[in-house]
Amino acid sequence: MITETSSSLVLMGALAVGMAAVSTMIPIEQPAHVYLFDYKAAYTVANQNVASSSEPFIYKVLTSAHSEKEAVIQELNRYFDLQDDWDGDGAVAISEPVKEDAIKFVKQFPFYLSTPSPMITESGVLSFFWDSSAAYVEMKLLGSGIVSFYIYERLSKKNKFFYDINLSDLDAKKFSDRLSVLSESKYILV
Amino acid sequence: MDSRGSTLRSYSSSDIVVWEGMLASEYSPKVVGNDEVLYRRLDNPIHWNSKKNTLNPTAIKEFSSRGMSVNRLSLTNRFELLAMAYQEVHKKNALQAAKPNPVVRYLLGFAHLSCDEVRTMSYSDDPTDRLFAIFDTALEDTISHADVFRLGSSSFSDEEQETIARRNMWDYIKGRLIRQDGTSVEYFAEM
Repeated sequence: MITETSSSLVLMGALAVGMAAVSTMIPIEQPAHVYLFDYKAAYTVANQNVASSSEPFIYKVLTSAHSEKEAVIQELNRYFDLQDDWDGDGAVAISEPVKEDAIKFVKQFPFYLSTPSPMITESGVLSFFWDSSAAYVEMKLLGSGIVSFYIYERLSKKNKFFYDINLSDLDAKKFSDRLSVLSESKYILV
Repeated sequence: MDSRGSTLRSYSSSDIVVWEGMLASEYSPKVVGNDEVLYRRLDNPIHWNSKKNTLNPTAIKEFSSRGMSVNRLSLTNRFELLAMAYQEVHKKNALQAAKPNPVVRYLLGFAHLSCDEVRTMSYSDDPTDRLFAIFDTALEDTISHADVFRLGSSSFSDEEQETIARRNMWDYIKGRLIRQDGTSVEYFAEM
């Protein structure tokens, strides 16, 4: 199945071929190892899938991205309802500035990139994370539009930290660059 | 907040490693050996990622403060583990019941940890730059109780150490979950 984790090139391929297809929902095989930013592999798979199926997967790409964002917002709302001492051990509620940043981030996050999962700590810190067999990426929301990143590259076992990044400076290209470590293409493409 | 974790990290890792070989509780029958299996109760649904059907990395972090409570399998059994877990969940829910929007806990299951594997996790390629220490903190009514604490590292700030330790522990336990819904029940049967 093609998901929103495929690249924008996938989307272009879909626009070219998929829009002409009928809307019958037919399962499409996709190698599980084709990941975000794996442009070459994703494009190839996209073309193969569209050529062998009548499904207009542009429809799937868009609706899937929308439903994933909705799921993340639902999860965030669950966190936002938490009040101080929500765990019975003195846990802290999420601050209003962080809540605002979180919603803004999810709504503006490029739909063709892998949707992150939110998580909360007992200190009231809200983060989003992405995980693949190539890397782990965590973005911590600090409020006032400021975030920090933690990146762990599994092959090199390197821990990297990046601080004081303004969310408004992170456009789609910069997010793509930041998250490119999640790509597993180096393991599967020769 | 319990500061045992930060107090521990004010000492050198080499000191702490020596202390691992000493009894830390008058109720403890023996120090925690590398060949032991530890069980960690999981009961907070706020840290459960239903989309991916696994834990979030923030699920376990008490190892930096009061210690991550675990039970030593060699000093208990599955029936006692389950009984203790349900009792603890009930106790916590009762304490939270009067609050306007409480997190209702339920037993998600357990994570099983190998002492040896936890003790060999490190901040870097240097095996002496250890992430965790395990102490036999037996309680009067729960002699199987032990605690996992995060150690310090000169290579990273305290917050960075916390993040690295949390990610390491998550990477480790996410494949070692025994769900209370029946998943991995075979493992329980082998206990």
